[in-house]
Amino acid sequence: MPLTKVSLGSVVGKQYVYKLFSYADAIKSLIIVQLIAIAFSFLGSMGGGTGNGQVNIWVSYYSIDIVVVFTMLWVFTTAILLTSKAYRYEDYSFVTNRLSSQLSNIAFLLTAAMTGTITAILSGYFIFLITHLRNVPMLNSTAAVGSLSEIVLATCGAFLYLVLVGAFGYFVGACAQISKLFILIFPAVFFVISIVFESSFIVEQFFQFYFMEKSIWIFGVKVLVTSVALYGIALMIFSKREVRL
Amino acid sequence: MTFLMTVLTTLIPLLIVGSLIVIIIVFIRLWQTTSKKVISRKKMHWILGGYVMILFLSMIIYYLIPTNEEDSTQRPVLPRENWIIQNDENPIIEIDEKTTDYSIPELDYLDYIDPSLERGSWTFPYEKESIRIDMGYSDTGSWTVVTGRKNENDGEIDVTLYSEPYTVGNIDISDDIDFLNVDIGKDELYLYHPTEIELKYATYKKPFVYTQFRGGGFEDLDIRKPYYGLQVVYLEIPKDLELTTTLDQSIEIIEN
Repeated sequence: MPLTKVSLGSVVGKQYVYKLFSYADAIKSLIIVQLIAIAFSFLGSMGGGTGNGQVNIWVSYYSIDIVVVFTMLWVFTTAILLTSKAYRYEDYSFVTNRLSSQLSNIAFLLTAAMTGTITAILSGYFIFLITHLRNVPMLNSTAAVGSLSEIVLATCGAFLYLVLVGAFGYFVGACAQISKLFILIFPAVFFVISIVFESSFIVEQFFQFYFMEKSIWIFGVKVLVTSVALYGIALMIFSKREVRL
Repeated sequence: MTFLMTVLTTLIPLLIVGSLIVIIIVFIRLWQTTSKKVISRKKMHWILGGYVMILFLSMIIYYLIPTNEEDSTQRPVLPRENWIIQNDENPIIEIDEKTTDYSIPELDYLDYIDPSLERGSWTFPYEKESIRIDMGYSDTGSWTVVTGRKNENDGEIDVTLYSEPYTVGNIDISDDIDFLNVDIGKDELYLYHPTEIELKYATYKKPFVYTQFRGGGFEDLDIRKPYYGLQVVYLEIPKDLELTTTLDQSIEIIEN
């Protein structure tokens, strides 16, 4: 019989703080991934040209879109890695149970999403600075990052997307713990849906449900509900796993 | 063929994304095996803090850099009613906004042209009885020639070039444009563009995590629809000078 009684909250808190530092590799990889994305933003920036035979005009577009997308990939892989055996076994250094371990993982993923969001949004200023130093003739240098309200909205939007992708990654990782076949099944399902049901009503509705939502509040609710569902399924999957001996 | 294209267009992005995910996973795994598992808080602060510091510094510099309103590439375009070569009471050139079709009705005066639209002026001494107006071959673009006769034979041809602004995405880029040039030969007046020019600009597109909720994405940018302004060459020729041309278009002559 234990002499001290610890609450779930305090265990989760301690594990969360531990993970913040022991999973530093993830944060370091975030920096590398974002730097690569910033480089891609310059190398592969979109553009369009037109002319009247006398004057030909080419306009390149700079954006943090690639940084946000790469950050999504990063949070997705980080979420999958958190469910791997190597990471899960680290939790046994602590007084823990499956619930506290999963909750601290979720808290870590939310922190990762927030960190990724802030750095991705701030990378817009970095991209501006580089274009300024390169003396690129800009058509709208004052609109490089946008007004405060635009920044707040973009930050909220990016954060919600990262939370959603992180939850999906965690769900995929949990499924992969049942069977490694899921690693192949998920891309295959995505592939088949994209081709066979390319223009089907269901795919269109799914696409519109998330990516065409015009209200940030409704989008936030959708992300919250979806993430809770995905994390909930993941928690159920892990609770059915055998104990480590 | 269509099915194959669908497969390829789906498979390629999937493979790219999958490869990136695998690369990131391998990268993190390798890092774990080659470095200490738990790094100190101090070191962690330095790595993340240093990166965030660079980003914050960029933000501070962004707000410190003054925007030069006089820069041609940042100058907003004049209101359209000030552009032209027209006046409600006495129009020189009428613009059909819908079709952007230009027509020259009764040409009486050029007094109503906005002075800021003047792009150049030339005076050529010319004593012969006739002159031919010619254009450099394969010259395109929208332009027109308007001619007025002087009240006397002063032996000089005066040329003034006007042009509407050239705009890209509501930004006036006229200062970067090489407008029509004018030169005189033995018995010809040449109009020509110096060279074909290529202008490169860049712009910032708002991120999709913003445009999804407020619009203004790539599809809404009107930067892809530049406006090539109409150039008007206004000639003032001696009273009795005969005018001929090889130009495809007619030359409007203002007779006194």
